[in-house]
Amino acid sequence: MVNKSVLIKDYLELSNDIDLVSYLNISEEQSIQLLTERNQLRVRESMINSSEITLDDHFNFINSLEESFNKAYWVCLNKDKDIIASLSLTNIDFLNQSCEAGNFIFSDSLNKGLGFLVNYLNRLLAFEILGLKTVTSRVKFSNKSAIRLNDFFGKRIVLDNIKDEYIYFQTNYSTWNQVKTKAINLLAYMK
Amino acid sequence: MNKQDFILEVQDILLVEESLNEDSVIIIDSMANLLLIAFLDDSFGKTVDSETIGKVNTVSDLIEIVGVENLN
Repeated sequence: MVNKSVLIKDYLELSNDIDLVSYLNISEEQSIQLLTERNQLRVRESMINSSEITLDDHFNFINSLEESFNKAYWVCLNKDKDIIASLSLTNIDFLNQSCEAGNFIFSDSLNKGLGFLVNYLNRLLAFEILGLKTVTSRVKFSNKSAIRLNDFFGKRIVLDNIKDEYIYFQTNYSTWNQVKTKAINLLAYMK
Repeated sequence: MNKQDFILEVQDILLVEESLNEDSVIIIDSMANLLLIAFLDDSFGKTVDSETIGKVNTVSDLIEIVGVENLN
């Protein structure tokens, strides 16, 4: 039986003074800030659903997370409690112990090297907290920065019958164990 | 470390194929940002935050952080 609470709880000071707060637990003001960022072209164009999302749909989506067993969304707060990023685990399959990781950095936090930290947190949650064994991610061919990050954390894979604008990556538990220490050592340099 | 070796190291971290020089404009992605922080700390004992690295535009900016006197 899946313990649903792991998908909707907050994780404080998980790494580098970052708090992860479930979309279900953020304030209305934070939620609107989140939608504003999500609807920016820069963010939308790297997503599978690149349409703008309405306020109603946004709140309906957040409320739907209460009942969902296969997806979870958090915002990342820095030590000043500003939202710096959003991260998600979707297509969570507890039977096959797999999920897909996603994230985006907020505008005010770009160019500060946070992509590495957020990608690390994605995997930390999936492997160490949810107990999954495989994390998949997809990155548009044009997103060179994200490709480099995903090359660090996983291996490129080819999915049968899928030819689209994405490169697919997979991190399995053994790869995670190989890169985790290196990632922690690098993150120690982030002040 | 001399200046040329420093520039070669930066080139490696940024994964650029063309040869860099002091005037080269550089683009630092998230991974490179962190690797540069580690490099500057390990090789020069310089503690630099990611925001500072994010504002770097050229190789010269990095040399300035290290201090040209430390690249002989």
